Amino acid sequence: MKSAWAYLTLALASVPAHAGTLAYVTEQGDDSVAVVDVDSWKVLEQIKVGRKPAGVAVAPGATRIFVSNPESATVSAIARGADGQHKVVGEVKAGQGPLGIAIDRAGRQVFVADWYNDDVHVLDAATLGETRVLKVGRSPSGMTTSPDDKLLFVANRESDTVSVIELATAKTLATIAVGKAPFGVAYDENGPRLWVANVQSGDVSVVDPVAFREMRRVKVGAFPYGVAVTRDGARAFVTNQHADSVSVIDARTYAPLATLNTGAYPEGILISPDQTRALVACWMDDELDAIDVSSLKIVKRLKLGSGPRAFGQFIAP
Amino acid sequence: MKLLLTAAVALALGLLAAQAHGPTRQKMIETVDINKPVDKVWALVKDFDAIAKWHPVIASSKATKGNEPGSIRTLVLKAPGNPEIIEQLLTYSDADHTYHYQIDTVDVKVLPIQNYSSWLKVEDDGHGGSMVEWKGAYYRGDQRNDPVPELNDDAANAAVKGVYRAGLDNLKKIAEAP
Repeated sequence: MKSAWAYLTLALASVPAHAGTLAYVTEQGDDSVAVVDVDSWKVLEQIKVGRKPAGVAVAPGATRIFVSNPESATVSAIARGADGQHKVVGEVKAGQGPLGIAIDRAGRQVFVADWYNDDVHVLDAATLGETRVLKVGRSPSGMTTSPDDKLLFVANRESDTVSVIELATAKTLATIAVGKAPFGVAYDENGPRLWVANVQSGDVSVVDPVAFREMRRVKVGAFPYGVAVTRDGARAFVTNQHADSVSVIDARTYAPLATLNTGAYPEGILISPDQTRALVACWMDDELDAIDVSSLKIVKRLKLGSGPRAFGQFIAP
Repeated sequence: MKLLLTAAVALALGLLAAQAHGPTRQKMIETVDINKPVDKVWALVKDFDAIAKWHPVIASSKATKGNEPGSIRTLVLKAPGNPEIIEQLLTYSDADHTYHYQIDTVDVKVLPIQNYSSWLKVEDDGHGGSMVEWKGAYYRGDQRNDPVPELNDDAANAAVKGVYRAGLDNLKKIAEAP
């Protein structure tokens, strides 16, 4: 008879290689995705995808990674095997200008925003087959689902609105007016609140995702692009493309806490699953910056390929 | 000077191929090595309103608030009709010898780009000289899926590269002059 310890050892042995936190950063200038081990702070691999990849959505458990390629107007799917190896398993056409990309919490449906046709293509995450097309506002960009996967929120950059789509019926339940040129979004279960970065008004809209209305706006730096919130709803981090900085907001009082100088043209931002770091892709300087969430200092910088963007959920939720 | 018109001329001759894809942000990085110490070179370029003193196609470059972020400078170009470009200072660091600015207003016929921002930086080359880096992030002038040739990615890149090279090469000449 085996001891509990032996079972535990066996279980550990079957865990895939690189079981630590992996970040998948789109490198637009290299037509690739960098696989970054966040714990050892190393680039493990550079995976070739379609042309000029920008958006990324990692499935729960990081078994699949979906990437939008605006210049080839396609979505690439990367599979991560039990051995930890990555392989591109498909590339399909998705509208004329796929940029924003998201996956539901169940990992079943992939949403691809078409910048030109003002709609969202819904793909089956397993087959990449298109199941539906949802009509939204002009130049849809950042997207996220509600935690129960019932609603899809879509920032419409050229309409200054957020569309709320009921996924069961494909009906638009609401179109919420926000700031000018909304782009990145983050769902925050505290509240709950939807945070929306408004590129041209230099602020962040805080939206009630139940009552479907904007509650307030919080001023940040020039050209806010992406937003990330800690799981406890204490701090929000916003990348300011034209200020080369990240604004940190006390998410309970909405007071500004700090402005951190990052690499040039910061874009995609996400809190690491262990909640200790905010990771920022800096497009102009080809680097990934790590901000310590409590000390609010940049603690590490990692050199990447050309033009890292990481627009979307670039670490498994 | 016909620098800004180089791209337009090439296009008129049909030299640049058409592309059919969505707009992707373009990146341009140009540098020049100057055989003078970093402080001396920074002194030449540090003032936001001093670009007319070292860029050969800029006639004047008055700024509203000097080197304070938010300062607006108006470039008047040495080109037919004296076209203007309105720019805004975004960040400024005397200690790091760098500043970052954006174009607020420009006619795409003058510079075929949109949503442009740019960094100028002077670095010590470690051997008593310096390296000046000028880099930009921008989109092509026509954001549609099938841009007209004179406003496509190639046209945008050719124009920005031309502006940077002319400025940097002339800066070297001025800085190294006996």
